[in-house]
Amino acid sequence: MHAKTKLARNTFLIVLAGVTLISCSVADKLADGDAGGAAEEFGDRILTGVAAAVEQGEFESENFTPENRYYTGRGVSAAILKEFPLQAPQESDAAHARHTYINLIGQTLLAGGNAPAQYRGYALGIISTPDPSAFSTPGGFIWVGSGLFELVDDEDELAAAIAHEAGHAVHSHAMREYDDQSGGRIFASGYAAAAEGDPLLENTANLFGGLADIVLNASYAEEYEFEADQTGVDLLARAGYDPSAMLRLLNKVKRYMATSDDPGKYLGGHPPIDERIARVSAYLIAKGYSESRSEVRTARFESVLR
Amino acid sequence: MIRLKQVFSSAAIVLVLSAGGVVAADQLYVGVERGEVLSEPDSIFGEIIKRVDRGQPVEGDLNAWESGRQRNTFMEVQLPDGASGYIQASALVSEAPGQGDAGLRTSSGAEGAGAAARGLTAEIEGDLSADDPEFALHVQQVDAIERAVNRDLRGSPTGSYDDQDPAALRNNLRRFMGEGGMRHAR
Repeated sequence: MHAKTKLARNTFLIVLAGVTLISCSVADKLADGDAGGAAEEFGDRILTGVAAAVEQGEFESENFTPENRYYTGRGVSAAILKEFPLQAPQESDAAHARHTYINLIGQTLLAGGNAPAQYRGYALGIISTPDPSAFSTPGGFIWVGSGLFELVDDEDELAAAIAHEAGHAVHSHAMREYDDQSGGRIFASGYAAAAEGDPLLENTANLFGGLADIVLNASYAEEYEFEADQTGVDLLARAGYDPSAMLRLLNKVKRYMATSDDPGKYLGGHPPIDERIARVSAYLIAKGYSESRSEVRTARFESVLR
Repeated sequence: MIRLKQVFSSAAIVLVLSAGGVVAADQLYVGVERGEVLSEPDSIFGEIIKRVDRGQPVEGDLNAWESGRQRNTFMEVQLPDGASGYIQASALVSEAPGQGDAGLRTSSGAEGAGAAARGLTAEIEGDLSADDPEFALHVQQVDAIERAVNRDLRGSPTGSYDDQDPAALRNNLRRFMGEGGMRHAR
């Protein structure tokens, strides 16, 4: 058995010992005067169930259906919107135009590549933040920070930022990171919460919190960030965008981080920017991608965002 | 003798090619609300053979499904009416939707934790919203975003995903790409 899985099981066993104490069925049996035996029996049943579930990979994201991922993504998105105000498309004509525009860019990128099918397709939204940030969740949601609009100079650079997030979606990084980390804090906190209320609701809320933490703080493994950069380059090329826009974007992020007093906590979790730039440069050369800027697309960008 | 050898060789090639085209008969189901079976294993811009809804049974090779959903590729499937084509493996599930959810709402302890570990459904989202008004508010904002996408890109007059015009998204994307001088590269 994987060491992480062993750790997870041990964590579950310890924390779940507390869960048994609040069980209704145990309380009923306590009233019948069979306290110790009932608690022990119920506790054993739960421990056996959890151990079996871990053994069978019940908690791994592979078992999430498209529907599970979609509703998980809605919950994680709600957690993101708790942190950042939504720029709702119905606020103004300009907000509506921006929303439609980023969705056309995102859907074009995702339609051209090997992005996984989503329960109700993909949807992109705009959130208010001075940081040039963007986040993708399970289930096909991508949230673009308004600070990005100030950082980039043309449609292809904006598309590069969205393509990086689309890269996370293509590889289901949030769910994979969830798998990697679920042996620790997500489930530990979930089970601790279960001791205080409805296990199903509390655990679900904690699942959202854990996943939102991964997504917001970019606490992906470095390899996932590099993979998202490279996949982003491929998505740009397949859609007909300039693949080298990813390099231009990263150089602007580097300048932003160097000159900003507070480059934003949400950029802090990414790998060193110089290494990302070096890897993307090498990837562009290896794939033989050439620069292909477009004045038409830049004009379109300026008409919507300037 | 040489002629006979050629005949046997040709027959063998035909047999191998035929076997490659047969879809293995494992039962799978459409797991997304709307799926498309295409004539080629390519992007959503491929020719649509049939639109399929969630729960629709299809036949396909279980191994192709397992590997296809890992690599986000298309797989060949056969529909109950005999038509066959390609669909994203990630759009399919191995259990009929809804079957595995029975009893989740009343579960507790390990079962409840297992349900939570797989995320949630509309019903549980409703319970969470009733329990937490702030969560409910933000979920409504997610709804607003989805409705706008459905109206503006998917041609849904009501904003509901179910009311979308099946051709609208690809037409809008084609127009957007054309206006921007872009072409989808295979």
